[in-house]
Amino acid sequence: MAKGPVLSPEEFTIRKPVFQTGVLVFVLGTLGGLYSDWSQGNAVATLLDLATLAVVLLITLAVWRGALDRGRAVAGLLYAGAFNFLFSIGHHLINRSATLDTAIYNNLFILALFLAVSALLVGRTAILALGGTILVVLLTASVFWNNALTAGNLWFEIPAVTGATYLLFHYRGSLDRLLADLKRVIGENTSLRQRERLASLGEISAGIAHEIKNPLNFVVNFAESSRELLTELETHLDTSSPSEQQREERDYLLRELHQNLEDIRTQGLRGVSTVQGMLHHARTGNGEFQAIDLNEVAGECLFLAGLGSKRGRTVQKFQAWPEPVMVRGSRSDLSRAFLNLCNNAFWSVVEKARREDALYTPQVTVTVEMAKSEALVLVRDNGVGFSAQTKAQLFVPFFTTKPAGEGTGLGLALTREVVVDQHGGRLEASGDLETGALFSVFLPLLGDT
Amino acid sequence: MIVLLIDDEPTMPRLFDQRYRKDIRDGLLQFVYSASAEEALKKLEGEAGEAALILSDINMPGMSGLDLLDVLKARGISKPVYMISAYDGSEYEAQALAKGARGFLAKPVRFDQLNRLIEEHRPPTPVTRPR
Repeated sequence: MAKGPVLSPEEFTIRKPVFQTGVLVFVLGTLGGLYSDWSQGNAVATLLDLATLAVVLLITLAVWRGALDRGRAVAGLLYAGAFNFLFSIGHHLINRSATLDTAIYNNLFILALFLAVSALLVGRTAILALGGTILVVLLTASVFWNNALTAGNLWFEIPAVTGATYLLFHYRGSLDRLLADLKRVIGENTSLRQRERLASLGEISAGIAHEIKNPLNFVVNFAESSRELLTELETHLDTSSPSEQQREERDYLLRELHQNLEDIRTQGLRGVSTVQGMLHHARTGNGEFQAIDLNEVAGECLFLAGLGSKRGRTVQKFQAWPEPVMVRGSRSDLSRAFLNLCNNAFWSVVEKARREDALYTPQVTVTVEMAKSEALVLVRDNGVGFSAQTKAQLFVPFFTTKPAGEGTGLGLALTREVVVDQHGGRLEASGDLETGALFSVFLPLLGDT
Repeated sequence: MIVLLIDDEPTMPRLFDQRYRKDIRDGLLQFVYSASAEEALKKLEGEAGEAALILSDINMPGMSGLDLLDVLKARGISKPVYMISAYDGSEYEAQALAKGARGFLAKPVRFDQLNRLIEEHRPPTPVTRPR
């Protein structure tokens, strides 16, 4: 499968089982409180527990319907819990002429914890609002219930709340920045791959323009020439009793016109097939995995690479497997991998042709085979090959033997990434300086994992 | 007047034969065709030895049109050479001119341009051939 980035924003969201367990614990806890409050005959607390339960159910429903993300839902649950505790504290304070006992301190502590975590989950604004509210409440409480919060407590709690608010605010900010950075990096990564794909298309685009203009040359010129031949033919049609020579001339013109139209058609189709091949490669796709016939993809890549290469008199051979060789993979990525291998092969034979005399016959052969559990694509050339020393570095990114400006040194590294990391296959290189190079791509067959 | 045309597109000879049918018939022009630079070099020692003009493709099997320019220079053959190529770009043109080509014609070939070129290089006494 496709390798994801090391970190993604998704990893910061609360997982489904964790959320469900949390809701379960919350509901059980509230039910326990409900039973205890009810058995003690505490009507207000019982109603409060019922209200909390209702809020929990509403939130769970909202998540289930997809109206709320799990992070915010947890914040909601904590707020509901916080409300419950706050209400008990208030109720406690009003009913008993306000002495701060252990129960209230416990409640206050849990309340602060719940509020802090929920504010962290929602965002920085919530943290500031929470910190501010608590400070206001503390100050108000110090005025109205002077005996409830003693001066000593107040002096301790105001800096504590301020500090905690600052810390939470700071960490939430860091978290937001981290997430934003991560999103940007992932975005850049995607556009980098996109650019690489376009670059490999750019490499062959000069060849494609060439391959389109050549047929266009014939289309345009045979059409123009046909017009002149027709004008000429018209003058012969005027003659009622043509001489032998005129008849010969007329037959010649008709033959040529026929042939011209035939050539225009053939050359037009040649252009169409070039454009189709190009579009197939350019169609970016999203790396989505699908069933692919390697016969088709490998053949297409050899054809495209052949267009792009100043191929000289290269003998280009494609040996397809007699039946479809199906693998599961990303069509665009695999074709980029094969295109890289074929481009290299053509480059290598052209380079050798440049160095050698006329006796050398450049050859690039792509073979598709099917073994027991593996599909196999072989890209073989009789070009310049590589030394044992070079072989060790073939797949190292930015390593290239091509002259400056001709190779990025990324082709084979990316090919290996696609074949091995992305598709769980193998990529092997063999060859030497005499015989040329052979790259073997092994891929698991479809339905054979 | 003999013109040597070097291009690996197999349809090129038919196009040129048709377009210059009358000139060929009247003995004003004769084309010698080669599908490769190597073949052209051989023909320059034979039937194309008297060629007054060489038109050459760039991207061809084996030796390219640009390589041919080097070989011609090395052999001291100073016939005017014009490149005809589907490759766009000033890069090829500049290379060809630097290697001694007289000019660069882009495909699709414009025959009005080519006619002018041929007339420019027509020797004072045309080579006439029996029909």
